[in-house]
Amino acid sequence: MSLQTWKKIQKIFPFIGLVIVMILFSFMCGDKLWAKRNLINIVNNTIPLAIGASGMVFVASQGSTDMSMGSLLAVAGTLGGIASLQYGVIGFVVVSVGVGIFFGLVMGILLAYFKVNSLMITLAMLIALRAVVSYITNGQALLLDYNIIAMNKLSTKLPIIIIILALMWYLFSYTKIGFFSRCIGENEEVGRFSGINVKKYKILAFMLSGAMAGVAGILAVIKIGGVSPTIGNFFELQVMTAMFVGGIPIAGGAESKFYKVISGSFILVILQNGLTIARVGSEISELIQGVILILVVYLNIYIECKFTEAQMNTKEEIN
Amino acid sequence: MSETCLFEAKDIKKYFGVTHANENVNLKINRGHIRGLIGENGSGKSTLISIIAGIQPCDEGQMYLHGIKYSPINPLSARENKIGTVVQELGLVDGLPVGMNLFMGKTERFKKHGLLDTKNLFNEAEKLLTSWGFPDIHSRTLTENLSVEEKKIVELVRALSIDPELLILDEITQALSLNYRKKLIDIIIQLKKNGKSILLVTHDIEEMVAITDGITIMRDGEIVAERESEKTTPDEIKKLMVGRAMEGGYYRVDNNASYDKSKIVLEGVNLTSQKFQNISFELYKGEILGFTGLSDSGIHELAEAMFAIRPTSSGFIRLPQKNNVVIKTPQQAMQLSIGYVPKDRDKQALMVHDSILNNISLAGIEMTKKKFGFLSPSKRVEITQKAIDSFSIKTNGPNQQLSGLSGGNRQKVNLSRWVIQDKEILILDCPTRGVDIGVKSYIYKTMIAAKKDGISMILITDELPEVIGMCDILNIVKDGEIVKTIKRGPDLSEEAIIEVMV
Repeated sequence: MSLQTWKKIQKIFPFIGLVIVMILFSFMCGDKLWAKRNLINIVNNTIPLAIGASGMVFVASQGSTDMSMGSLLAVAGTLGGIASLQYGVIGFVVVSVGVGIFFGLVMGILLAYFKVNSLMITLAMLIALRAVVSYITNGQALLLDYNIIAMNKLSTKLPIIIIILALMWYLFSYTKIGFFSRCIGENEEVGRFSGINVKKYKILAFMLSGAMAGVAGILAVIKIGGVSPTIGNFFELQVMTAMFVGGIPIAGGAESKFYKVISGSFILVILQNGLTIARVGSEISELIQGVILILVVYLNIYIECKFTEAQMNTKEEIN
Repeated sequence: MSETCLFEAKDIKKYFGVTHANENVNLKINRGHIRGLIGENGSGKSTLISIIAGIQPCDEGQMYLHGIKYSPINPLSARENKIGTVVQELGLVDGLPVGMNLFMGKTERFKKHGLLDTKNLFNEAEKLLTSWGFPDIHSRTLTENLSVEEKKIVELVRALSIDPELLILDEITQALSLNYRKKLIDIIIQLKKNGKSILLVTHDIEEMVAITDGITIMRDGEIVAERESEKTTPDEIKKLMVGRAMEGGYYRVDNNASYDKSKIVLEGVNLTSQKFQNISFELYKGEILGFTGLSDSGIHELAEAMFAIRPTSSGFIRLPQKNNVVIKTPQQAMQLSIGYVPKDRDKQALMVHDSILNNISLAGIEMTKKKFGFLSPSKRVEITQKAIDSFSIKTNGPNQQLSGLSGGNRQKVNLSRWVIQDKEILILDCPTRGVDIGVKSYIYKTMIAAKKDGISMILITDELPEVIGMCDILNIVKDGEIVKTIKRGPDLSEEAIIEVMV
C-alpha cells in the first residue's frame, strides 16, 4: 500500500476501534446498548476518564508517566469535600483543583529540577497520597451536603465538562504548551537547543494533569455523595488504558493527538459497558480488556512500521 | 585475473521498489591500493558498501575476492573474509565498555571456565587501542561517555582488529577532528605499505584526491567515471559528481573584509566556562565572524554559550544595538532576533520522526502566534511552504516526516527555518557538516546573500577551506582561548591557521 493510504489509516485508527466496538456490541447486546438509559450511562462513565486523560495527555506526550492520578484524585476530592462543608460549592471546587495543581507542581519540580524518573516520582506519590487519604478520613466515609450531591445531574455536569474539555483541547492542539510538550516527547535535546524552556513546560504539564485529577476528584465525590478512602482506586490505570487504546504513543511525541484521548475513553467505556450488558462475568471481562489492549498496541505499532516502510520507499524515489 | 586484483564486483544491481540504488556497478580494487568512492548523497555509495560488507544482498551480479567468488550472507562472513567495514551510522552498543565493543562476537578466545575473562579482555583491548595510536581511549570506559569521534575511532580499531585485507571506510573523516583525521591518514598509508587495500568514501574531495590512488565517481546508482588521483583535480571530480559544471568556486570571491564598521550588533565579553576562558569578541552588522579550532578546543561549547544554552561561570553576551541587553536564556535570544543552527543536526536541531511542518514551526513559533496564545495552523503551513519554496527542499509536502529526507535536505530545513524569519544574527555551528557539495554550495550562496542583506553571522567549524572561504574575521581557538585573530586578506591561509591551531 502507498504512503498516503498508511498515513490515512494511522489517522483514523482510533475511530476504527470505536466503530468496531460499537458494531460488535450492537450485535451482542442488541437494542440494549442504544437504549437512552444506557447511553446516559456510557456518557456518565466516559466523563471522568476523558477528563483525567485530557490532563494526563500533556505528561504522556512529553514521554513521561503520571501514575499518581488515582490517589491525587482521592486527596483532592476528600479535601475539597471537607472544605465544602464550610465554604460550599466554591470552596469545594477551589480546594479540589488547587490541591491537584499543588501536587502536580511538586511532582513537576521533582522531575524537572532533580531529574528523578517520572514513573518513580508518581508511583511514590500514588502510594503516599493514598495513605494521606486514609489518615484524613480515618478510614471512614464522610457524607456531604445535599446541594453538593445535586451537582451530579448530567444536565448540570455536561456543559461544564464540555467547556473544560474544549479548553484542554485548545491548549493541547493550538497553543505553545501542547506543541512544546509534543516536541519534548519527540526529542528533549532538540527542544532545549531550539529555545524551549523544557523545565517550565514539564512542570506545567504536571500541573495540568494535577488540575484534571482535581476535577476528576470532584466528579468522583459527587457521584457517591460523600468521601470514601477508596475512591479513585486504579483510576490512573483506566486513564492510561484509555489513552493507549486511543492511540497515544507510549513514548509521547508528535502523534499524540487530542481526539485520540476522547475516542480512547469512549472505546474503553463502551467495551466495559457492552461486556456487562452481554452478561460476561467480570473476570472474563477483564481478561478480554487485557487482550484487546495488547491487540490495539500491536496494531498501532504494526501500522507505524508499515508507514515508516512506505516512507523509506518514497525516500528512495525522491533521491 | 591478474595477481594484483584483490576485489572485484561485476554488474551489481540493487533495487528498492522501483528505484535502482545500484545499476550495473563494476568496481575493481587492487592490492595495496587506496580506492576513493565519491558521489552526491543518494548516489548509491552506501548501498554498494553495504552489499560488499554483507549487510544486505545484491539482487544481481557477482563479487570476487582473490579471484574466488565471494557472496557474504551477513557482516560476520564478510569479516571472516577479512573485509573490515566502518559504516556511516554508529554501530556500537552504548551501554557496554569500549573493550566489549571491540571484541563483540569474538569473545570466544577470552573464555575461561565458561566465563568471560574480562580482565584479559580489557588488557587486550587496551593494547589494541594503544598499538593503533589511540592511548587516550580506555577499554573500560562506557561507550556512551565517548564523543562521536571517539566512537568512530573505536569502530575503526574494531575493523582493524581483524587484520583486514580490505578496509572500507564510509564517511568516517567527516566525524573526525583534524588531529584524529591526521592519525587516520597515517594508518591508511601504513596499511597501504603493508599491501592492504582501502575503499574510502568521503565528501572531502581535496582530501580524497590527496591520499587515494584511484577515484570512482558514482551518480544515480551508476559508476560514471574512474580517474587516477595523480591525473585529476578536485574541480574535475566535482564536475563529474554533479554531472554539470559548477560555476566557479563556491566560496566568496572578494578578498577583503567587508561589513558595517559603525555598528556592533553582538558583543561577547570575557566568556568563561569549563571549556573556554576569557573569550571576547565583537560582531558587526553584515559580518561573518569565524571561530575555528580542533573539535575539542571549545568552539562548539562556545556556540552553545552564545545562545545561552550552556551556562557560563563569568562573562556575558550583550547586544549593543538593543540597549546593551544581556542575553540570559535561549528564549530571550530568539526574541532578540538570534537564530542558532547547532552542530549535531539529527540530535540537537531536528525532530527526525516529526513532520517538516512541525520542525519549521518549532523555530518559527513566535511568527505563528496570535491572540490568546493561539498558534495559527494556516500560518504554520504558510511559513513551511515559504521555507520549502525558497530553499527548494525536495519533499512531497509540508507534512512529510523528516526521516524521509536526505541529509542535505534536512540541513536545508534546519537552516531555512531561521533564514525565513529574517533574524539579524545567525549562529551557525558546522552548517555544512555531512552534506554533499550541491547543498554545500547552496548554503554558502545563502550565507553570501544574507550577508548582503546586512545579516551578521557567527560561523563555527573545523573545516579550514570553509572559514577561509567565508569569514571576514577569523578567531582561532586553542584549548579554550583565542590564540590568534586574522582578518580576511592575504594573511588568511591554511598554513597560518594550522600553525597556531594544533
